Amino acid sequence: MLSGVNRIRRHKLLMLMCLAIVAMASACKTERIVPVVDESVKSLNGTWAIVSATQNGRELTKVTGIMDELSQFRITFTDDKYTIQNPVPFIVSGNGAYKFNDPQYPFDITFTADTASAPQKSTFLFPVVQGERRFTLTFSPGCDKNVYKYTLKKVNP
Amino acid sequence: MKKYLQNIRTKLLRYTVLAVFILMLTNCEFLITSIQQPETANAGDVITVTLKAEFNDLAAYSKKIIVGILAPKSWKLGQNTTITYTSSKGNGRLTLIPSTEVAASAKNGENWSTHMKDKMGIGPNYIDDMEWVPFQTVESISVNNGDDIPATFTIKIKVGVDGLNTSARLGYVVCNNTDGLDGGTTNLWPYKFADCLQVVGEGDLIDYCNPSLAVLNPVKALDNDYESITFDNTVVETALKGQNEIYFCGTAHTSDGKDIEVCAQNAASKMTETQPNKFQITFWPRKFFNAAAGQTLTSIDYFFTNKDGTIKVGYGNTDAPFKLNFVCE
Repeated sequence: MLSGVNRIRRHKLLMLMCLAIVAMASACKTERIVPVVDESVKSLNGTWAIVSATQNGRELTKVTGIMDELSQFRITFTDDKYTIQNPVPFIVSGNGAYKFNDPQYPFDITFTADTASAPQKSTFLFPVVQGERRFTLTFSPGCDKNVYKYTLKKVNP
Repeated sequence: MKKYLQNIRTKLLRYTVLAVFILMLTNCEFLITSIQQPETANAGDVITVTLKAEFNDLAAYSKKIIVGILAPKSWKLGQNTTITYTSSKGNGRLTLIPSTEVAASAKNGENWSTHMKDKMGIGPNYIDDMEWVPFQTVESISVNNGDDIPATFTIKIKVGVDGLNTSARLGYVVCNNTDGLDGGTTNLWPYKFADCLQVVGEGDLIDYCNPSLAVLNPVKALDNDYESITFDNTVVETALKGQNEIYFCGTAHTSDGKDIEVCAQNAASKMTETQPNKFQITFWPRKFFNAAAGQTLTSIDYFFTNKDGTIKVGYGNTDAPFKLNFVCE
């Protein structure tokens, strides 16, 4: 009778040891390192329209007559070129080329109009709002102290 | 009986401590007791302003005292002002606080100038083309419990460095560098606006002190900026009194010597009544005057008219046009 109890104890001990070995073995297993995924290159390809605009913090889109003008503005990006339709005061006043400081992690964007001698730089924000990409530019088309902030979203051309 | 007396004694002590604490909170205050400022000066003159203040504080501390001055931006006060002070805790001078320094109590990391503008605006002035310029004492001022310190600030300002005919009400604020412009009360940052200062210079008067018939926003702009012009038909009785449809009529002058007139009374030139008897138009000058590519608009002469264009109101309620120059400084 006593030896039977002993046997059961020994079995329990063996099982525990087995479990411990399995646990130890799996604990020592090297974790597979997640492969590095390349951050996508940001693309603006498509046609964009202004959804909100401020001048020195004042909402231009609430100013009578100005909203109509701003909402008709279109900018179309194709690879490294852009074209403007229905112009408004903007960072550049003609068609030309653009580039990011870093295509993967853009923090600013530079526009160079074909007719202009100097490129124009703006900070670049690229948030997702309600599932749609937006981008925001900050610039001064006139006096330096007059700061404009336009937010654009992609539209059908 | 003994226990009862002890209880009373404890309560008494508690209330006394509370009372002293409340006293400390309420008695901690700064005051501007007087501002002496000349009423007139010539553009480029150095005026002397005497600002007297008192600092009452029951708590001991060591802080720098800040003086902020509101003035037209084009006066560049930061480069044209010196401030010295005398007080019972010593004498010294103040230096300009750099714009990179974040103001104490500023919630969004604003610098002192922006924070002061947010808190006090432009006071009784009418044209929002002014800035608060902050200065602070070079040395901290140490105060003992219960000190009541009177101080006199002697402020020397070279006024009207832009050379223009100007009248403005300068503003003054006093605070310290750790409390800043804190909370709901102005106990620790009293501010006052001086009477209107007339600076005699050249050109049409830029009158910050009185409401004007036409208000520009932004005040400084180029032809590629959106510009809002507001006609305030309540300032004086004009020939357009009682008219509820007001139109903008302007002539733009270009850098190549041409004049472009847009004076038709139509939807594009119609002004919107934003408040009773206040009419506003906002436009992009290049588009409004149909400027050709490469053509720059340098200024606009303009009037306000009635619906059929028979009544015109110009600068200072005269026949002369209002003038808008496209310049940034």
